[in-house]
Amino acid sequence: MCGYCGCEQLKSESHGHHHDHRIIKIEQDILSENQRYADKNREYFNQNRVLTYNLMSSPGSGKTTLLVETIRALNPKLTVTVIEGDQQTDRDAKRIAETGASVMQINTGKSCHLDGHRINHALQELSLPKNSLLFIENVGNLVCPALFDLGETCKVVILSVTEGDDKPLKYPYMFDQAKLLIINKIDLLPYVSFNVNQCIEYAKRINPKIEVLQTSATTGLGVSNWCDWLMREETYV
Amino acid sequence: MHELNLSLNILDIASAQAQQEHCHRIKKIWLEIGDLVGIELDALQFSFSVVASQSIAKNAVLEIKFVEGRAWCSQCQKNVTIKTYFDPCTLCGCYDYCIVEGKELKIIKMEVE
Repeated sequence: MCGYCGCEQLKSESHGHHHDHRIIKIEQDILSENQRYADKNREYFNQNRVLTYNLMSSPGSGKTTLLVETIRALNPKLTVTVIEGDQQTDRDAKRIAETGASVMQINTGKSCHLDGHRINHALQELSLPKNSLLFIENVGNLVCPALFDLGETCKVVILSVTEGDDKPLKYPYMFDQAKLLIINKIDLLPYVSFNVNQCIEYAKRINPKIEVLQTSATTGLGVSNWCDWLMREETYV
Repeated sequence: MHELNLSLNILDIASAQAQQEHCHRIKKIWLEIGDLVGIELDALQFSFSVVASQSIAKNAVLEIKFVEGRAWCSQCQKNVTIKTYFDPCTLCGCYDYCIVEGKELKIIKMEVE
């Protein structure tokens, strides 16, 4: 076997091959394809003055319940659309639909996160009103969604008090990427050993600029502060 | 981290480039990966070998350069090394810094024939 290219020519024979080993420069981000779609999405959102929030969390943190209460509180001041991401079922989309908001369910199958391409497809089917608000409820996962820009205005991470106050240290990339941390289910604080101040301190180690709100979607505590945070963005007329 | 998804992206980018350059085999791909991204090297190499097994990059070697995490500390006004997102500044112990290196996920070049 040729020791250079592995072909079956014997060493003593002349090759007659032309070994065309070339180096090709690429210099490209591995996630450049996703970024291309995210940039298109962002341009669309900016042109139509749609504020878009990418909600990320573990499964069971209360994202959907918080969304339902948020839509009820914002109605009719703001038009809200929701894109729901789950591996399977449309259970969350049905809950959102009951509020009267427009909703689209994306089932990702085996994939554990939404990406720019899927959102780009969704936007071609949705008619987002100008000067409105879009929530993208990402697949429940504290790891992968943080890696993928969807074109959103910002990422929001939701952590419930039943999950443990050290999650920012264990899943730092998620907290590094988020503009806002919502600590949810605070009505359960008397029953769990979650230290709110410690959690906030951990989150600010990862991301000193992260803002923090505390809510209980089931009791409504803190939901008006969250709505005020949403309403304060200057792009709203 | 999502090594399988990254492997698919690496293969897509390298294959598209190889097609443009009329190559018939990709032998080696050089990557630059930041220490802070949290990539498992074994998982990346394994998943790449699987996704590339029926492609122009079959048996291609991944040559990976890991980039150390570095941050600009606003208190010290200097760059410091960090190994994780929650390391304090090695000089002053504060967390008020901005990461400048260590988040890279790049394909640099490839060897083809």
